[in-house]
Amino acid sequence: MGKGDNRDESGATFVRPPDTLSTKVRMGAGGVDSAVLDKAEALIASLRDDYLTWAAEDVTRLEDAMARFDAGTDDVETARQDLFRTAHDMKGQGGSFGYELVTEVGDRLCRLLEAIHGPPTPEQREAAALHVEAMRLVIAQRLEGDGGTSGAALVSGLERIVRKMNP
Amino acid sequence: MEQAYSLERLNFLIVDDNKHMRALVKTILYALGSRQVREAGDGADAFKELRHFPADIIICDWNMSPLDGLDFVRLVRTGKDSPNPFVPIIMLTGFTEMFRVVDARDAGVHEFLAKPISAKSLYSRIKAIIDRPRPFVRTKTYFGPDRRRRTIDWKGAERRKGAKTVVSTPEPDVAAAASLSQEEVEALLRGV
Repeated sequence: MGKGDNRDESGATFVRPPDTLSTKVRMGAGGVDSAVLDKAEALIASLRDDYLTWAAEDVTRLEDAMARFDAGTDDVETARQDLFRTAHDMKGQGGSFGYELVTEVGDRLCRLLEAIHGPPTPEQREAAALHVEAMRLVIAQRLEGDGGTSGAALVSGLERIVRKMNP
Repeated sequence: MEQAYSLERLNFLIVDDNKHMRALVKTILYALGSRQVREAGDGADAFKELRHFPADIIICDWNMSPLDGLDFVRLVRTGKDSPNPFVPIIMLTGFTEMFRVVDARDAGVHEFLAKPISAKSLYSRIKAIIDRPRPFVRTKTYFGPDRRRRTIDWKGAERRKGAKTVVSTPEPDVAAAASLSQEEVEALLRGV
């Protein structure tokens, strides 16, 4: 046990880690203040065009995986995992670039896929395909933020299809 | 007055299998004044990187293969050849259900940040690590930052008896599977 370590009655040992951060982090000029944070947010916003290029590539990946996500194919589980991974990535990125609707649809697609075990039924496949199509629309039509009335209609349509699947 | 920390001298290691996500995190860190930022595409590469890069803070994604984020955290904390078992780790993930936050906490993460991220949300987690240095705790089944021993009304499987938890096929109860807000996640991690 090192200096400053101690043990409590349950046998847990408390260890004081080396304090490297306080020796390396300076305070004051050049520090992260609200102006620096605002600049950083503006920098992220300036990457929106790049983001749309990445997102369009992700939509292509979704469509490719969707084409393989069929009860009749050999490796339907790989297709499901590919769909999930891409939907999860899109969910995690959209909101950072002002595309909260991408995050919303990505989250819904992830939840749908988590509930599918084994080969999908025709209804499950149709529901997944509609989520992929919704994602394509959001990116193609540049539906920023929550997508306004178009976004609300799209989300409502996805809700309906999932309800129909699980009455 | 708010303390304005300079991150210029801190070494960051970003671990994420998605190159766009790595680019986003790196962009934010540079914009916040960091200069030493390294990247790794998965947990295994990150562990190798740690051998020659003295990271001060690791920002790690959860969903990676072959070594995922939780496995990587456990390896850093308890691996016999770990170069730095104490390094602060921020877990970055789209998974915010309670059972997953508990898994991450019990693997030994310092902070948990839900995607999508922003410059402000990432800095808030870095600042939390700087503001609140935490002692480490070693028990028979855990080594990592002090979890403050909050009792969680956990109805799922006992987490601490198994060294490894398969996160891809959990069967949690409904409450544990509900997504948490960032505030709820932070409260859970701090045991408040």
